[in-house]
Amino acid sequence: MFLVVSTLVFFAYKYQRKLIKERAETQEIQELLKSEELKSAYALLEGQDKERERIAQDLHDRMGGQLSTINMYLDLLEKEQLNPKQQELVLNVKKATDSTIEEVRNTAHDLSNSTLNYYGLSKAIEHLCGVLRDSKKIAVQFHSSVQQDIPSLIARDIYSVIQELVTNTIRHAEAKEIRIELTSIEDEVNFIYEDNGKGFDPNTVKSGIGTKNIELRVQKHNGNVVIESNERIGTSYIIEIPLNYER
Amino acid sequence: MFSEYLYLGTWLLGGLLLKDKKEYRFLLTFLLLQGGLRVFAIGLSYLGNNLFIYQLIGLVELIGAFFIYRNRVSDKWKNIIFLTTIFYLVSSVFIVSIWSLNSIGLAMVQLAIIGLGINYLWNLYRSKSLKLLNKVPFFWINTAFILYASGSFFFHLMSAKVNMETNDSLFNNAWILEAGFGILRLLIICYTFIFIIREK
Repeated sequence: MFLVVSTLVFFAYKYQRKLIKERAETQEIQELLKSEELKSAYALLEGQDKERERIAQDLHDRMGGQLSTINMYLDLLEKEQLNPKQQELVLNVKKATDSTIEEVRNTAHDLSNSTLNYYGLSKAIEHLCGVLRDSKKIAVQFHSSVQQDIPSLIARDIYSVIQELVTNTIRHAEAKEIRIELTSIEDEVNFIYEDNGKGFDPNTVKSGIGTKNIELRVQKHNGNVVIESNERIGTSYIIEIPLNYER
Repeated sequence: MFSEYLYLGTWLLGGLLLKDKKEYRFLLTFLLLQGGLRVFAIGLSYLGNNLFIYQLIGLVELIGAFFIYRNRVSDKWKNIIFLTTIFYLVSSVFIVSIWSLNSIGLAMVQLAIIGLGINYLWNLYRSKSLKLLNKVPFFWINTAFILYASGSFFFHLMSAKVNMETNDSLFNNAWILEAGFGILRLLIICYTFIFIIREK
């Protein structure tokens, strides 16, 4: 009888140990899969960024070049002896070409983040805010107190996150004002993005592609996103990203 | 006497709670046969020798346990149980007598049940989908069976060694002990039935 009870106790002990070990292994596999999934998602984002750069380059170099050539021919044509009707037509075509060149330049600029590459994150955000102000769709406030250089990969992702947030605000929030605050303290950069729009429920909207991209870009650098949204005060994102994290 | 009626009570509880669960039909049949035979043995004790009923109870115990464990133990147990049954029948009829207690035969029966239980534990340990033990109802049924079998094995071995017919107090104490283990088994089975329904 003692032997049977001992066998039962011994069995329960060994079984529980095996169960704990098996669960730990399963958890390890799940974490590994999750990290692999994240890696694929990061690779996808990087691929998208590279593709945007390529399209921007093509737009600027090829289309921009072709349009400038058309403009040159129009200049030559303008100098020819034309009747007033023809001159008016040439002038209209020239205006349309100038406007198209400007549009192509702006689109290429937006795609390639060239201001970001040449002048840094604060200037790029300032430029973006300027474009938004010029559109007269929304009022924008931007404050930056960044004290050190931000690595280009982090800067590019912060800029993309802000672009995504601005798009969301304009598309869905019906906000009148955006406030962006960028600060860096020692080895961390953080920014606050606020709008005074109609807000949303973070639990239900969290799975949207835009929000997922934001989280992915921040998590890529081991950062953290806190979303607060309320019908009365709008939406705020608080994002913190460490500067010394290496993937 | 309480333990004998408790068999029928447990069968009734199981029948009410698990009427749509086919996997427990052998266990319920086992409880009904055990309860019926034991109550019949009590009635018969007022008329005369009832020990042949206990011979039958031993047989039901062995074959019933095999059917309860059948899908949970390895195939070789079919042969072991067959041989144990032959040994039990031969010893009951030819070695002792069906009118006396076949202690060695009954001890062998309980030993076989302990073997079934340990084989089940081994298979459970090797199974690929491990669950928490308290979430495995048959683990508790198995615990009930092997605890009873170990107690009963001890009782029958002792009764084979000591002539109980000449020692009334020892005989009564041994039966009380055996009944105690029987009650323990039934209470664990009742708990398992309630657990199965709660988990549903």
